[in-house]
Amino acid sequence: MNERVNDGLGECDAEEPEHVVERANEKCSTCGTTRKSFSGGCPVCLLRLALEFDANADSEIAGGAPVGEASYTFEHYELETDADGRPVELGRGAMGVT
Amino acid sequence: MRGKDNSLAGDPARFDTTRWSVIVVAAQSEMPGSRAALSELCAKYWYPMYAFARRRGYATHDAEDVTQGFFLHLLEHRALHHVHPLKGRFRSFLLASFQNYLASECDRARALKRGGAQEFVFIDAENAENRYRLEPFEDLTPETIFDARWALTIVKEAMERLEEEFSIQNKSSTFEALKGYLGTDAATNSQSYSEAAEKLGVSLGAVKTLIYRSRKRYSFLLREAVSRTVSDQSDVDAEIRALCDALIAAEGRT
Repeated sequence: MNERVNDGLGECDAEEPEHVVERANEKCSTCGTTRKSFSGGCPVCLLRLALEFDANADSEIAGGAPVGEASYTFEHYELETDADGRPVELGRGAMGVT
Repeated sequence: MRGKDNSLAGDPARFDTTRWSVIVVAAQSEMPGSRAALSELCAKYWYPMYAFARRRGYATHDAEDVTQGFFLHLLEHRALHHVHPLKGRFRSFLLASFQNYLASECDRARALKRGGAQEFVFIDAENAENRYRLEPFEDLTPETIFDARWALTIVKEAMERLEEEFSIQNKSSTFEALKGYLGTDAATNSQSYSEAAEKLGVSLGAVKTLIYRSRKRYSFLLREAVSRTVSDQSDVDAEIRALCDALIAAEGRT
């Protein structure tokens, strides 16, 4: 039996991952939903996030490098990224995308 | 993407353990391993059903009994007589089947005889009640609560899987630093990106990239979780939108 703790809203398992612990009546600054959330972020925004990436993107990431090791740096060069972290596209042609 | 509906057509001793429809049919056919697969699948989604039963007026222990009883009922080949399992969403199927079960099991003694004394899925009743006490109750139907808790279960499952992936790479601290950025708009957090970069000891560009890749990976894991609950892959987007609507309906928007 896990140790029980009280986070002010009710008891929960002490060993439960922090992001699973629900918090009460926070308002998401992005979508405006008032909801019980958990520290992983707004559930509505997380669901909508999954709509941003299509099936092709899924297959790419599934076989890609392990998450957490990414860095768009090549020696002393570094790719410019936009506010979402995506590489900024300067142009594209027959040989690829710059 | 994983999972194909024709997996039963091949080796009869093997079945796709990622698709709900295949698992249910396999369990009915008593295929090897199918009972464990169905148990695992049901274990993920027992709480929305428990919350539904509680909202329908069942007392704590009765809600636990009917939830357990339903899972046994599902295994006893009686749940699918009027439902085609290879079509539709697991969420809709489970709710409709559970509603039918509750209607037919109004005699509590009968329900106890069938399921009350046996345990198919482990239900932490104390934890369930603590969670249920936090449910918003104003004007919410049992169906709304069920759908909203289902949505939250999916969101949490994907988050736990992402955390596990970071953990396997000994990057739990990276996950801790980035998880708060996954479900929020980048523009909202543009200033705090530098805090995350400083915390992780990487450049601002690198932390943006890490967040982008983590969001993308989380998105994949969530879509994968949803795909296991629909029969047709083309329904994934629609199901995600339905889950969004369910959460908004339950939690409200100001």
